[in-house]
Amino acid sequence: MISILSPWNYLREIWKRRYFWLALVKLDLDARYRRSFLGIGWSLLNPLAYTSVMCLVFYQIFEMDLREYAPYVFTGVAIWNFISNSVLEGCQSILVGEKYIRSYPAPLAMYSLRSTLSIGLHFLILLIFTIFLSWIVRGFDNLIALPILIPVLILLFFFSWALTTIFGIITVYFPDTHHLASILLQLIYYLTPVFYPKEMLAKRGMLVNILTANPLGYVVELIRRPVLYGEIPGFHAFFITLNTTLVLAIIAVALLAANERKIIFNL
Amino acid sequence: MISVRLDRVSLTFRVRKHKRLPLKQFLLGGFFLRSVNPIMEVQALRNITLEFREGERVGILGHNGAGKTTLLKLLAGIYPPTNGKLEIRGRVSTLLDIGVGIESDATGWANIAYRSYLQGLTPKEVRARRQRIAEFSELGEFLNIPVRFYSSGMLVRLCFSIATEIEPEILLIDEILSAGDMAFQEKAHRRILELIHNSRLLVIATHDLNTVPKLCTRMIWLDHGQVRMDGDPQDVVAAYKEYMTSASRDAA
Repeated sequence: MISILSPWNYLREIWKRRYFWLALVKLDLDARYRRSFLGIGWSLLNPLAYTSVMCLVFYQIFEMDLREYAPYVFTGVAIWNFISNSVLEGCQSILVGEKYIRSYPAPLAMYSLRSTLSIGLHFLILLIFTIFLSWIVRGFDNLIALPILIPVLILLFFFSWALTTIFGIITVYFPDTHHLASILLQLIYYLTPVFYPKEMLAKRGMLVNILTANPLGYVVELIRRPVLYGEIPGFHAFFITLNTTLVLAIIAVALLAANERKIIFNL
Repeated sequence: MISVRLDRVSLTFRVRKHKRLPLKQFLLGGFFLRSVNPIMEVQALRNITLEFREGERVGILGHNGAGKTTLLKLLAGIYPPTNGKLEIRGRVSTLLDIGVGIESDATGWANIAYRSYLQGLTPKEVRARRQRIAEFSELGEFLNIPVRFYSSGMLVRLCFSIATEIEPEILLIDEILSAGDMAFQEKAHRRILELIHNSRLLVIATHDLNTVPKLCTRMIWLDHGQVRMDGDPQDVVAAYKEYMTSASRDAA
């Protein structure tokens, strides 16, 4: 019997079927980018359009320096898309595997892994674009800091895998999870420095308190600091994100342990 | 040594009256949940103790809802037992629901690969297998287009060819399938017989009282999730027939 309670064996079972989930990730990417280069451009259009609108507004009202602000917003949107997709697409992660779960026993986390990889690759494309953007606008002085992105991305991978697993399982039991999660995300969105500069709120004590309590702010920090400012993100940001990921992972593992075998009865 | 052992195995489905409850309602009325959406328990298998050994060909008889398919899905590892112990030695192959697990946006070729990968095969192993499946399905050029555009007959051919390209040790079959047009049906039938003969342990659920019992070395009659009779196919079929006629006489 496959169980997360023997984690090595569980991971080995997932690894044994790597060609399966990799093939499905490829299918997802084919569908998303429609097998063409234009497809990738198409997927950049949404964050680019958003960034342009924000630039227009903030330039008019706050007279922001666009060289500074445009890449700032774009990274924010890229990371936010990654987080919210992990939750919203994650809601479907187990249900889309239903037809396989019904016909062949395999580890459940394999299906949420598929979602995370599809979402993650999409994020990587945006991230690479962001790095180019920052090179154009600000020069190459972030080069020394970029390797720090490797541990950051590994951490975010587990962060997302836990989210897709959690929301994938909850959705099987409660079909309206997607709906409620999107409302909640909208709320958190405004508490996360995606489009407004953190410094703007520096003098408003209470808001800053809420913002610092929001762990997603640190996730954004982990990407933004190295890419935009060529700095190594603070230990604090790492520590908080690591803890957030750990908490999510524990929840995900608990849900897997409780539902791995019996989820079939609820599909 | 290939074997299957069930030791006092029970399986209970816990079904909610209304399929799923929205999270909203659960959070709002969690306290009253029991009354809003009661759980109904359906005992699909009760206290079954059985042992199948290598070389046996076991048929399972029973009316609809007796637990035949549930038992097969349990043996396949899809359903976990609620109580009791299940011990399987050997690689299990199934011909249960051959239609499930098809990705309609992917091509025939890709779908062949997915199923093989799911079973843990590598691309190298899949390459040879793919040719055999393609040949048997006779779909030719159609394998290059997404399955979405297939006619239902073509789909059945594909599914059947994928599902039966196996080297079974323990083989589980739910009814003998009828697949596609007449010519293909003939071929499909032959292939199943071939699989049955190559398998080292067969468990087959059936309604058919003529051909299948002749293939079997042992027959089990399931009734309301319990083993009602277990023994020589001819005896069990005779008893089952008698029961059916007396039951219909009672009804009339």
